[in-house]
Amino acid sequence: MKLIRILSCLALIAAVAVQAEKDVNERVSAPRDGEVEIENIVGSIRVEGWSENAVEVKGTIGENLELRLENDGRRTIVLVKYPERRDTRHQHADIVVRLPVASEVRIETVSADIEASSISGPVQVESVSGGVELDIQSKDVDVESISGDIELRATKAQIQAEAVSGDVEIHVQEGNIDVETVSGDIAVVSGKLTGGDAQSVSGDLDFDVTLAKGCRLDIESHSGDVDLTLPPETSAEIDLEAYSGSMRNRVGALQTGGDGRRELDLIMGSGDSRVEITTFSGDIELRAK
Amino acid sequence: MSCENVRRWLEFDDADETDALRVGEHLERCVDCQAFAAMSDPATSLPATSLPDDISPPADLWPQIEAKIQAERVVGPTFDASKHPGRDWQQAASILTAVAAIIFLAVVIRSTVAPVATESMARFDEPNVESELAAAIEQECRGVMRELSLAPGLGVVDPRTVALEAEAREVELAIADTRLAIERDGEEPKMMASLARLCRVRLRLTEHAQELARS
Amino acid sequence: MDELIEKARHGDEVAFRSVYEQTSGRVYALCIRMMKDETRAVEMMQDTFVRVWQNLETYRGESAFTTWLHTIAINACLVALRTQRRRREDGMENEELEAMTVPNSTDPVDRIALERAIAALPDGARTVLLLHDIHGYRHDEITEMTSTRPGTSKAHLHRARKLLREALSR
Repeated sequence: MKLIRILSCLALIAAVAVQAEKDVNERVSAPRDGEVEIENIVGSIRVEGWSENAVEVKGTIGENLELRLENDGRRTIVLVKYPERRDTRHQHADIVVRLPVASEVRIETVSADIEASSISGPVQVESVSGGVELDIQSKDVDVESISGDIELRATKAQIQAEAVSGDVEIHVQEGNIDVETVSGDIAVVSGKLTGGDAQSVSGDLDFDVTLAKGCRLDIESHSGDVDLTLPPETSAEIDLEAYSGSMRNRVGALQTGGDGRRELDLIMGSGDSRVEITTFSGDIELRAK
Repeated sequence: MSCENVRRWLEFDDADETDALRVGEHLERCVDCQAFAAMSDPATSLPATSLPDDISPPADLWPQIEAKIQAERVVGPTFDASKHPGRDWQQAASILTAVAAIIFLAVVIRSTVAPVATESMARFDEPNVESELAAAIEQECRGVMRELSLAPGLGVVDPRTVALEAEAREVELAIADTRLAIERDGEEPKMMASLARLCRVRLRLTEHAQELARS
Repeated sequence: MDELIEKARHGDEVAFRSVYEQTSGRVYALCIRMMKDETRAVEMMQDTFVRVWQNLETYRGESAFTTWLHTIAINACLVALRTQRRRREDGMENEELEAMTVPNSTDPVDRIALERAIAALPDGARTVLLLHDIHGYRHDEITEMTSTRPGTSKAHLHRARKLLREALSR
């Protein structure tokens, strides 16, 4: 009898030791175009838009964590609660959140990796070190990260992206872009850029874009290099300034001013758009697509 | 990441180290790949464990550290947060609000005020309001940064704060480069505007570090 | 040591020097292998101990003091390496590796080869190998120190050991 009790205790201990995580599967009704706020400190958050008027959360979370899923009419909250002192050792949550496609989504994390797809409402993301990957149809996107990389694919959007050391990569078919990093690299590919403002301190900036008529694009870097690739039929005034970096015109634009040493003023076509690129020591290169 | 790619990463020399995070995540979940890693783990010989974990630093290192510690003490008046619990955050917040107000004012003034003639402006053909305001912003930023850096308890040392400090050092190098160029070539408006921008970036990094320390 | 730390917290520089003397050997071993260069290792040591001095109040005792100290050192090194990489596109040239000063280089040739092989590892792999195989930290501790995940730490170690074995068998 004693042996059975001992063996049972050992089995229980073994079972408890193995089960460090628990499954979650919860669902709550939500309006078609309501607000959804998602917060998870560590692990991963995958967000998918769907056609149902509900928010569903599935996944696995650490044994000591708690999932809070609540709706108060317009707003739905998805929160992974960590213990009092936010001790995230050995504890993380990997959740998949399905929500109405037109929801206004706000996601906050420290180090969880974030993926979102099939969303058409506004999206706002704040991360410290978690990576952010968005493949969405939203018209309004705002992503902030410190060291997490940002990768964003959108169709037609107003995009704001800010990172410190994370790299930022944006693919947008048509849009206005405001992007800033300190040391992270910035890469933008756009079919039709209606406006842009890109700044970095030491990150490199690589733009492969088609400028919409009347587009104003400002790119500034201190020591990062700037590469701008434009279609040969572009119509734009292009002003380059580099204090000590080099400037190369490989797009065949005509020089209209500047000494060529620190300033180079160029024109392509009839100059319908305006591009200004400024660096301190970074090199500037214009290329043809 | 697929099992095939994870195993390739573990086995081939040319793997991209930046994929380590994704490989790690996969390994945490995939029992098959865990088994693969365990089987192929070259743990049977661990040459590194034979190396000493203690190596005497140069004898003159401590005096250098001591000198830096003493130099830090001489920076200026320090704010004793222990006498004013909670006050350091309030002070930081009020300083940041003041800076924000100055920057806002700068933007408003730039769009409405008439050019003001000064000795430096006389060198330029165009009105130089932007240059003066950029100089004012830079001065204010520096003042704020100095005050923030003196207030204790603002930087809990965690690895992410350390990373932000390194970013701040890069920005400070950029500020130093720009100031040197301005001293050499004069207060060209674009250069002044770049300087102001860099100071604002520097300030934002301090704000990020504070937020991390609070979280 | 606890008593020394407590005194140092209250501004006692003599106590802090004692703390330095008791801990600097292990920190230096970490820094020199991370930075692969004595001058840079010395810079990292200065950064680390100055930062420790400035932030002693924030040490809460949740981890061992040496773990906290090594966390500061390792992250200072990682960030410095990254800044260095950005300023130089290439990694360490072969000639630089050959010229690299090896600690206690009067030791047998195989030790020199081992140190050089470790120095040639990519930064992430090298970090985990140093912390795990030389300094004896567990993966969960390494995860905390480098703000990463346990799986990542294990992946790095696996790769580090494999690359090291290959380098030594050439």
